[in-house]
Parts: sequence; C-alpha cells; structure tokens
Amino acid sequence: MTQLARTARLAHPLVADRARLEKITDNMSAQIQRVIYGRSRNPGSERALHGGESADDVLQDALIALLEYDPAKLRTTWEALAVGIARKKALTALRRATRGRRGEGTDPDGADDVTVIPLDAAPELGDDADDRDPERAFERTQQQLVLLRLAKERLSDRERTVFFGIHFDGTTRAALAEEVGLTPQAVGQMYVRVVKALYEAARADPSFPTTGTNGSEVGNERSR
Amino acid sequence: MNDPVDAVILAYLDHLEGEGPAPALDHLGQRDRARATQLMAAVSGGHGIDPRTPRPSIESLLADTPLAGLIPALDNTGRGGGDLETVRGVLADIDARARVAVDGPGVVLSYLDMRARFVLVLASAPTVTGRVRGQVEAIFRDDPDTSRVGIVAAGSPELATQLVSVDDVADTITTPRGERHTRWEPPLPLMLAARRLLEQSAPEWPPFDFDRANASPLDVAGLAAEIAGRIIQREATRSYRGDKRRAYRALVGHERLFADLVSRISAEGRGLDLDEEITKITRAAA
Repeated sequence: MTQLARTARLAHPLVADRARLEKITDNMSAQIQRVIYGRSRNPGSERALHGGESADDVLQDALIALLEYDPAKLRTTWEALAVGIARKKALTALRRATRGRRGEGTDPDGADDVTVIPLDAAPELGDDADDRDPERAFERTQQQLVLLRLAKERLSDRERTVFFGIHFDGTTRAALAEEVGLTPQAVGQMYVRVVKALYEAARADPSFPTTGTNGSEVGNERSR
Repeated sequence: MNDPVDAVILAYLDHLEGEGPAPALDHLGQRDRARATQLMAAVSGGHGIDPRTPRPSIESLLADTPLAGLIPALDNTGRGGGDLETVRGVLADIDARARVAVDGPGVVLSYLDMRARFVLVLASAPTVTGRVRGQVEAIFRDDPDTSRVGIVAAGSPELATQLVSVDDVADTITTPRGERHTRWEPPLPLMLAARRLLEQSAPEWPPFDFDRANASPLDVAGLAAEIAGRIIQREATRSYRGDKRRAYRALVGHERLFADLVSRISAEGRGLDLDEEITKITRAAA
C-alpha cells in the first residue's frame, strides 16, 4: 500500500515539471502572505500565529496538501487548486490565531463577551470579482511577482523603499516621507512614476500573464 | 503632470489610505480608463506580499515530512556535481592569506584564528534539514574553535552555500513580541559566501614585532627598585593613620630593600621564605 502511494506520488504531474511547481509554490506563498498580512504589513515584525506558526509553516502545509492531492480527482487546473488550498490554509491559521480573542466591536469595559472566532471579516483579497476567481487570482499574483522581480532589478534604493512600502507593505505616503526624506506629495509622485514604468516593463516581459478584459487568457495556456 | 492617469492613481492611493472615495474614471478616454483600471488593480494587488524575504526552497519545505523523498535530492546534479577538491579549488582562489586544505569529510579555510569548515550535502540547495543540522552541531561540538560551517550544495552549479554559526543551530525561544526573527545569512554561491565571510568576520590583528635592537639582558633588580619606589611614594602620600602611615613614610628612600629581595629570590629561588622577609622589612619600617 505504501509502495502504491509512493508510486502515485512519483507520477504526480507537478513533480515531473519542476518549473511549474516552483511557479505555483511562489504563487501560494504570496497568496498566504496576502491573507495573513492583508493591507497593513509591518516589515519589522511577523504576525504571531497560533503555536508560533509562521507564514512559511502554512506554506509547507499547503504544498504538502497540493502534492498529496489525487491527480485523478482534479477538476480544475493545478494553479487554481493551489490558490484555493493556500488561501484556505492561511485563513485556517489566522482563525486559529484569533480564536478566543475579543472581536473588534466588543466593549472593552464589558463582561467577557469573547467571540469564538473573532476574525471579524474575511480578509480583503481583492477589489473585484477577478480575485475571487482562483484562476484569475493566480494570474493577478503572478503579475505582482513579475513586478516584484523587475523592481528588485531596476529600482534605486530610495525608489525601492517607496515602491515596497506603498505597494506591498501598505505603508502610507506620510510615513514613507519621513523615512526617505521627501514630502508626502513627492513620495506619491515617485510611486506613480515607478509603478507605471514597472507595469509597462512587465507587460513586455514574456513571463507576465495577460488576459483579455473578459477574462479569456491570451498567450498563457495551461494544461491540467 | 500631463498624464491624467497619474491623478487617478494618486486619488486611488488616498482611497487606500482611507482619505477619500474611490476615484471616478468618467473623465478619462477609453484607453486611459483601461490603463487606469489595470494600474489600480496592480496597486492594490500586492498588499501583504513580502517583497524582501525569499520563500524557502521546495526541498526545505518538504524536508523532514513524509514527502521528503518526493523531489529527488540531486535533481540538478547534472549541472553541478561538486566534490571536495572543487570546493578546495574555489576557496583557494579567494584570498592568498587564507589557508585552505581538505580535512576529512570537509574543507577547512583558516585565516589567523578564524576557521570555517565547508561540508558537501547531496542536494541542489543548501537546505538545513534535520540530518544536516545534526551534522553541523557535531562539527561545532567536535571542534569548538570552528567559527562557521558552510553547507555546500553539491548539486548546485554554483555550489550554493549556507553559512551557519554555532548560534544559528542553538536552541532558541520565539516570543510573540513582534520583533523580527533572526534571519540566517542568505545562501550564496560558494565563492561569494566565502568572500563575504572573510570581509565580515575575518579577525584583524594589529602589526607587531619584537624590539630586536634592545638585546641587553633585563635588569631585574633595577626594575624592582623602580616599581617599589613608585608604589612606596604613592602609598606614603595617602592619608593612612598610625603604624601604616609611619611604615610607608619610613620606607621612602629604602626601595633598595625590595630590589635586593627580588635579586635574592631570583638567585635562591624557592629556598627563600618570602613572607618572613617581607615581615622583617615592614617591622623594621614600622
């Protein structure tokens, strides 16, 4: 039986395609971080999860779950499945971490009105329906990873501080202005200039996934 | 600001910071509106992603799990295939002052009193699995003078290396205080890792030499008299009272007594009772 399971694993299509597995793992890592940290990521600290868990531990769980998934049961793409697994694992970790704490609306002077799961609202994963579609969510995140790679390659230290701060950490322009010694207006203008330039460069990058406005894929075919 | 999309993105930043409503796009033409929509999606789509820390390798994520053997450890060995002699060759080219030698199952790089030991692991990435960690701990235990251990991935074409210090593998306690976790050094190609090690951790000894011109024998009695004179002079000026004060004052000008004593000790060695001789001098002085 164990041998059979091992044989089945070795036949896993993602094991045979290392590049695709790397890409999916990158994407899952980003999906998990988006759920756990949301819009206010503090680069100086990590969000404490239950039992000292880290985002990397959640990624490990998600990767194992993906690789243990029976290919015969797959009804979507591995990419979409990976997004679903990653988000679910991250939400579960977040719920474990917040279980038993007071909800945001609880009166601080009130009795122990402790909610069971005070994760008051599901983390905002996106501003439109595209992000709720796992296929599109995968693609959107791939776009962010291309932007990130280009930012590391092309930006100066100051531009990178501004871009990373606003784009990934959700830091306000006023806070960044103090850090880099500019006015908030100058920081905003620098960010706009950088994000436009990076987006243009990304669109010319062959690894940048693009879809039509109706959601149909252009030049990024995937197989199950 | 000529591009109307710029103002839209700035307004969108205001919105994300809670300072205003989502910007209207009605005033934009069709092309600019599409561009603004894409850029706004890009602006909000990256929140939460950690841009600074690379994710762990797949090997390290699966290490010590039931799926550890799923990804062949030497998946990329065809591109790498490093051995100890290769490691020694790479390290030998880094700095002529460092000594490099194959020593048992590893390669040792020494510079003054710094010693780093590089060991090969059969993997395409220098992942510190439970087994590798045990190996590293054993190296630090067996040779406590080891400053760093370099884990070199034999299957990596550039011999990716993870340098660890003894503190990196020691037991740690994580507290939920929001502090940044201590990060290990990033894995680097062997040459860069070793160069970084030398640049950041190599000890610096100031130049020194013996005074070869001053070859005359040491005048022990003269030195003893000088030291005794300095101490007696200092103590005699202190505000002691009674016998102590009288004794120190009486000893001023008699430093030669101590010089003689030192000379006799040098000559007679252990045959002399030092306590008795000191008592004689202090009593006479008191």
